[in-house]
Amino acid sequence: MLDILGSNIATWLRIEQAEGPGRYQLTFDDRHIGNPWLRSVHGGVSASMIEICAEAETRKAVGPDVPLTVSTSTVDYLRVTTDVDVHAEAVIARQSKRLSIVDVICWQNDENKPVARGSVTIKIG
Amino acid sequence: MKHPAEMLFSADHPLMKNLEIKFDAAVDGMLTVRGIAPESFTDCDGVYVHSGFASLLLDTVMGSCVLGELEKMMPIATIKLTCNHLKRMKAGEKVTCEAYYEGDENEIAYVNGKILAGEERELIASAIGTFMIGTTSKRREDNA
Repeated sequence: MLDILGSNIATWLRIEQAEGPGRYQLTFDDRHIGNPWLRSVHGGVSASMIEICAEAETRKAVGPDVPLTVSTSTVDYLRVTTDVDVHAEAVIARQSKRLSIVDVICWQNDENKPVARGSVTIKIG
Repeated sequence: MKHPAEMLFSADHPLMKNLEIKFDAAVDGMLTVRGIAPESFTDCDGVYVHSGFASLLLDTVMGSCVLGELEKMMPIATIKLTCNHLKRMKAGEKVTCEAYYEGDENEIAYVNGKILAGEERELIASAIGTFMIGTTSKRREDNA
């Protein structure tokens, strides 16, 4: 079974499924820090999380054995982050036989104040 | 004077100390780092490194490239990151990440980046990063 949430990268980044449809959580650790002075989560960590959540959500839709490859990701950084957990919600905007386009929103303490949003294109098969 | 990337890719940084990536050179607006694709960032197959590592590395190197171009040190923040993942790199493979400073206007800097693998410099990923120069963010204790 090709489950991204069981991969080394998801384990290293401490990303797992959360309660609720399309929801995921990154449990904060010092290794996630980008700016030690601000103690903010590294923008690349957020980008990785967005790609992993998009892949995990697509995996649920296509089944366990179909190969998935992230093709493109675009991330907008909306607010400065702090040294707490990051939550994400992934929604498949469009899925065809060959592609899945997934929108992902990330937030920390307040769901109404997103810290990043991303769009990920994934090749199916 | 040391390039900011020399300090960033060091044993002192909480994230970067976990990666075998080191500063190589900074010449004429181009920053180069080199290292090994980490096994700790592999996909579910355990062989290939996930695209998320490429995005993380590109954001870091492009941001460092911006810092190296500033006349005086000030904080920056990524405002947009777009990555195209052309191929996957194998864990343990030698990788090079290059960032090119395209310029800045009205406090926003524009950078291109790419990751190349092996001696053949096979293109793994390319990216465009947009960065805000000078942020208004403060430490939390400063806001208290």
